[in-house]
Amino acid sequence: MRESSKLEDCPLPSELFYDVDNDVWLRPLDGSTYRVGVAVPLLFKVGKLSNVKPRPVGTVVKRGQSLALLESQRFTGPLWAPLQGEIAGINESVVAEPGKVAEDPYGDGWVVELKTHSDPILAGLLTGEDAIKRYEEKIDREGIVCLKSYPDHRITALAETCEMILTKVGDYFFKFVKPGETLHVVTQDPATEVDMLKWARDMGQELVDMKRRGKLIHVLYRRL
Amino acid sequence: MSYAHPEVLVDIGWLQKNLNAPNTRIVEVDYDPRLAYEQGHIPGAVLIDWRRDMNDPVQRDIIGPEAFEKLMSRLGIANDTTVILYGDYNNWFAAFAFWVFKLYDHRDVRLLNGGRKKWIDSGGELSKETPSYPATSYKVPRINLENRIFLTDLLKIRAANPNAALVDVRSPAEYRGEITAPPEYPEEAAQRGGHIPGAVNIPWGQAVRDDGTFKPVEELRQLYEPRGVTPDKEVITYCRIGERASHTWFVLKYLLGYKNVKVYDGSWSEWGNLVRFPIEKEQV
Repeated sequence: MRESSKLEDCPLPSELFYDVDNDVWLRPLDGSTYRVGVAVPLLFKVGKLSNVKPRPVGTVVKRGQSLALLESQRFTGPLWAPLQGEIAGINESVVAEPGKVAEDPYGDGWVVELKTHSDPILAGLLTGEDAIKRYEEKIDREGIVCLKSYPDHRITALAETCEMILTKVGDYFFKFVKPGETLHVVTQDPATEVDMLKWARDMGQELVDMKRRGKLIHVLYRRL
Repeated sequence: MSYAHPEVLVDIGWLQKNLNAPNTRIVEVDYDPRLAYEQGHIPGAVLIDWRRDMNDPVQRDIIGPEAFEKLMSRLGIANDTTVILYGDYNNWFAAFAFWVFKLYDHRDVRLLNGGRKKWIDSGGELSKETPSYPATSYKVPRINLENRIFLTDLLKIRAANPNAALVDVRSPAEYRGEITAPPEYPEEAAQRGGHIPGAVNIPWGQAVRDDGTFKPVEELRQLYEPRGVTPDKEVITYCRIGERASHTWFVLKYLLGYKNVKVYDGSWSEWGNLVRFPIEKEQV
């Protein structure tokens, strides 16, 4: 299997500004107001969000303070303010349904609107090719892999034999993954791409995606 | 009613005003630092990585006194430093670290009520910088085993004291024996599912509110006393490998003031692997 482009399945629209270190994007609405949301690589790192709790409208933030509390099953962290400013609006629909952030991360999944006098370029935020280049470095450094669909579950299956790896995958898959849900398996030799593909066929399950990154193989199965 | 030992809890408001308090070290304790500490932490806080720092690398045990001394020295903690612990998952691993600090008899250790979640939600300052502090010459003054119980002593108590209360703080599905480990931690399963005969199931997370802070005293009493976990008894908490059990131990000992509470850190991953040991399980 070829080593695919690092940013495959990691959309990063070129018209947005990014605080790459903190996985935050900004979309200008008018001269001084920006929509702010979560960049896709963070969602592949921490999993789908289960809680989005913005701070109240009117809150004044400095750069590096939190605009919202973000939680997934494995993660509790901030949505970092990319610029200083004031929270001018909150997306109540992602508060009610945090899953919307992953469904439409750069559209209806925005989190807050920020009113600011700062200029994103002067503040060091990146856009277009510059943002993509920086993200490629970050994804490499942190070992983030974007897949064709968001994983609901994730396991690391490293073992001495291919059979042991597949047993572990099967144990987890049939015990915890509900129909329609996906499992992200991180594995490596001696399991091969062919073994992982064959497992899905033998078990009658869907292989959604498979990517190799260095020594690791990332596989996404969906339970039918 | 206030907690029995309010001095071991620090609230968010106090810490926001006292980030630079003298002779104080803030410590984040994480299960997965990559998704927690490294994503931003309280300014000045050092990291304890639960897996790397709190466990003996060879035998199944928490770190020994010498390793604990080295860890304290590396984090810039002296014997008289006030240590404030907080972490992810509602202080799950921070409470475990608290228990380890007490095992090695650290004088002044406290827990940040609400942990990482409440701090971020309250708009507390955050930093991605990893601070470093001058090394100390930390000495463990003594090993205090009053909060820890091993299998052999647990068996003695079960034989001699019918009035002991055993609290299984795992999820109901683990208690009933439907699964041998929670889905997020499939590595730490036991051979058999179920619970120690006679144990009552009070999941650890029921002691905290949605915002991550501990429930008030009256609600906590209502959680434990009607189930037979009362202050007059010898109480033993367990879970799968001892972390969640430390959280409930903290609640019973420091918030409700129970005199005799111990963590059986062998927990289900010990008991559920023993040959011919009795197990209670819901028969399907």
